[in-house]
Amino acid sequence: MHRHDDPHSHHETADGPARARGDGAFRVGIGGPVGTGKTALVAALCAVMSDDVRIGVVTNDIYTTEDADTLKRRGVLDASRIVAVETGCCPHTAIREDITANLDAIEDLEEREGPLDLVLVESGGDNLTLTFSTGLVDVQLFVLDVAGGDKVPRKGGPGVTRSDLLVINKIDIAHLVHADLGVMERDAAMQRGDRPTVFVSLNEAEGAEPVASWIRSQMARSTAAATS
Amino acid sequence: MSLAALLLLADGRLPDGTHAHSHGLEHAVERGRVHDAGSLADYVTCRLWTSGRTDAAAARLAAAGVDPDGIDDAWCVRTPSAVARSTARSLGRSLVRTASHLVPEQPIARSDGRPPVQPVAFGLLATAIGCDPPETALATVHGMAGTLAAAGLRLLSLDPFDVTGLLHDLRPDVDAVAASTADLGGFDDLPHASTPFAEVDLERQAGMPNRLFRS
Repeated sequence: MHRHDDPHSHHETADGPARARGDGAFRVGIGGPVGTGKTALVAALCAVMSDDVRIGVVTNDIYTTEDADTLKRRGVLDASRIVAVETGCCPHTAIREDITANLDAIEDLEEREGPLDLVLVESGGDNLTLTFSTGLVDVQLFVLDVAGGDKVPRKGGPGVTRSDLLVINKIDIAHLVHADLGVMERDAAMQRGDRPTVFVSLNEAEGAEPVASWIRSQMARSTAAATS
Repeated sequence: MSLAALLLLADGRLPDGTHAHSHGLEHAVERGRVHDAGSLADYVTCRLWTSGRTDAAAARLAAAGVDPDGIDDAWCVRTPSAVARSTARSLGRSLVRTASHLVPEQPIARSDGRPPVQPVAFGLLATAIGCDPPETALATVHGMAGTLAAAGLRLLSLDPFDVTGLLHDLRPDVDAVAASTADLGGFDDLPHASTPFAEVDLERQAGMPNRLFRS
């Protein structure tokens, strides 16, 4: 099993995250294909981070409030800290070309529940071209799983090549689906240059620790940039 | 007037939040009243001459400098569906945000601080970027036709050439609806051309558990 113990992003060292931050929370976009574990990652991050980080969650769903309801049922976060944006047939548009509904949702969340330290924006499941607008989030994660096939990182696409952190989930079942983690690691490195990739299993919330520590490092970097 | 400003305002890619809305069309499709390009054309035509005309008039008056709060209130009185009103308020908020980037020196808001309903916000944005009132009315009607047609394409998996043909055939209606809003004196003259089916569709769609569109 491979674990990148100190995952960190290099490509933005020069100029930091793109969005000009005001006083609001640090925003992390979580994208990826359907069923790879985006909602599971959000739940796990809430479980391992919410003791000392004030978290809000915005979900983007095709079918109304499905993901938000799942998170509320799991009880990982106060239900009032979870809001759903309905994306009208096109999850992609709501996080990139027309981010207005998501900005409204974040604004309402921070006004009602704030101040918050971190807002996780989960996209609806989409394809490998999914990316978040830098007007909406500070950094973005892209979630794949081994069950989709070990060839997926090789296929590339902006989600794989440009995301700040690539998360490859369900490594505990890699042997059952004949996925070669070595191949996935090699191809991800080839597609992403020095952008980090982590391999996780989210059966237990602790599996999200490498992702949580990466987010904490990004938050610290952003705070340092804002105060320097 | 500025043709470039009009084209910018009428561009479906303007980030105004409308991509997530069918304005009740999804429920009409669910019930089978709209089922192909022909019935979609009928539906869009009906909407243009009813709620579309009211919207165009509201936007035109706002662009002409009539008191925005008065138009907003008059528009709400003429819109029985609470879902339609809250949707218009939400889309107005999106336009306020867009305007804050395009024309930050001309903030758009009601006097009570709330965002105006969508057609009023649209009219205020239009005049702020350089469109005149007739252009604003035209862009409003064009926008409604485009939003409904695009939603219909997605909901019914129609042939995109048929949908573009539908919009092509509707050109005279789009022009005529926009022109019909000329000669209004003030917000009391706002047309009250509601259509019960559209109101019912909006209300019922809000209760559909698996809807694709927010409205």
